[in-house]
Amino acid sequence: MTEELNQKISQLLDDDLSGEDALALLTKLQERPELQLKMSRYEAMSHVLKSDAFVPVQPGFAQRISAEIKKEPVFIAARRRPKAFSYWGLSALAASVMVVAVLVSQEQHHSGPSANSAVLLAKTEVPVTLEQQAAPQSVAYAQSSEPDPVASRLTEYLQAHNSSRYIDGTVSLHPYAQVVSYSQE
Amino acid sequence: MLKRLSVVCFLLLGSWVFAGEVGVDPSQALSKMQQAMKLLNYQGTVAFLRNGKLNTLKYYHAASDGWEQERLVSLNSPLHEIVRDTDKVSCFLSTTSKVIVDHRPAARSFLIDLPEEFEGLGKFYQFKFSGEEQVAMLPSYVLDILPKDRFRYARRIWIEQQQYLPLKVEVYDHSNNVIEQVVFTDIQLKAALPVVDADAAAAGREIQHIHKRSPDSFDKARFDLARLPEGFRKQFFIQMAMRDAAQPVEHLLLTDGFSSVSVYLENKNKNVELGPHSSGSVNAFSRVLGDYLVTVMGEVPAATVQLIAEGVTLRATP
Repeated sequence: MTEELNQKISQLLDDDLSGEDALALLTKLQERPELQLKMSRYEAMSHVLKSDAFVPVQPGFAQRISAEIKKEPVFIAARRRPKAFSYWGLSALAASVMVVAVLVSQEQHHSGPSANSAVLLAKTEVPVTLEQQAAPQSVAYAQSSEPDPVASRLTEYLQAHNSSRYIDGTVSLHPYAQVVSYSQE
Repeated sequence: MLKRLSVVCFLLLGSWVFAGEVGVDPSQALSKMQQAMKLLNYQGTVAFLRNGKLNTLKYYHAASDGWEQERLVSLNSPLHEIVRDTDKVSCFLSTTSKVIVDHRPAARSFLIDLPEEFEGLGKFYQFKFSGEEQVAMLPSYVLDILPKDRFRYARRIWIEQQQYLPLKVEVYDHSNNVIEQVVFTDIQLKAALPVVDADAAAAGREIQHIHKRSPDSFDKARFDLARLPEGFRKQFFIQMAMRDAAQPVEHLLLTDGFSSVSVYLENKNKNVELGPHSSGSVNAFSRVLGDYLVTVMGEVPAATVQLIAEGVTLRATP
């Protein structure tokens, strides 16, 4: 029985074993560690016979490599090499966070709605009137608060023409000459 | 000559082979797209690029038993939300408590204007597939809609290959510049989507109605059209109230399926500058006709609105 197994291991290393027999032998190798050691020895002898140089490896070397590979995470995209944060980088980050914090706090003083559904918009209070706005903010609004009668009528036409024009929020139609002059610039 | 002919034959063969690969011809693809747009429940993020301005909105389309609701919610200021319940469009603006409600006799999708029927359009437009591309990481067919005259704009639609939903639409001027773009940056198909009650949302707010009256017969109009590019037909005629207008303003909407043109007639109004106006793909032309002001506007070249405006005549009063 042992002779037969030895023969089969030798055949496996020489790639002379049939598929079924190879499968049966591999199953036995998994179950019996002494056979794995025997196979390693046979493999070493084979290498020595075939070449002059041979570096013996410790038992379980292949298994350890396999286990280490399994531990490695899988990356589809190329990995970016992590950069060490420099002092300047950290300072810049801290400054950015401060700027964001200031902007967010200013934004919260605005009366702009935070909800974005029709039902919620309906419940939103009327925004602060132009007079109630702080001076720097009212400049931009003040400009748009005086409706240009020409643009206003054309805007009404535009709204009546195509409802998808509401998508733009504010619709405006410019005199053709103005558009042409912009294009030339 | 022979060489040129062989090139044309090669291109025709190429487009035929590509159409064979798609499995449907361009008209069938457009019909399938129209059905998908009406019947499916889908949502996503859409970017509208018009007149150099980019607007990004969340888009929802809910459909059930022949009824549909389209909803757009802006992601950036000025915050607004637009809801289309079949033929009624409600616009909620965060900067004002006013709600604009447009009772359109024939409302269209916010994404793209499509004709009800594609038959007969081959006389004015050429339809052809020009390739396949990925949009929002989805494979799509690229379909070109090319006008056969100078009265209309060219369009290109990217149609998603599984459901036939439009993922991207571009409108080009005669110099082949993109003048409008609508593109999904992400899109998801859903079994069902929640529906918003726009009437309840508008309750208690000031409502500005547009097209509140029922459409009338065009026979009642005070004007007629002497010059109209072939393919444009009347979609509806309506008399509506407008600010600072003592008499109702007459509004006639024309369409060739993909492009719409409006003709407005009202008493002379010094608040409208005469001549051509432009905004992205929309052109307008105003002129005085007797005691009236005529304005023609639409998603067509400037020459088209001018041609139609100059062809407006007043009907003899009985």
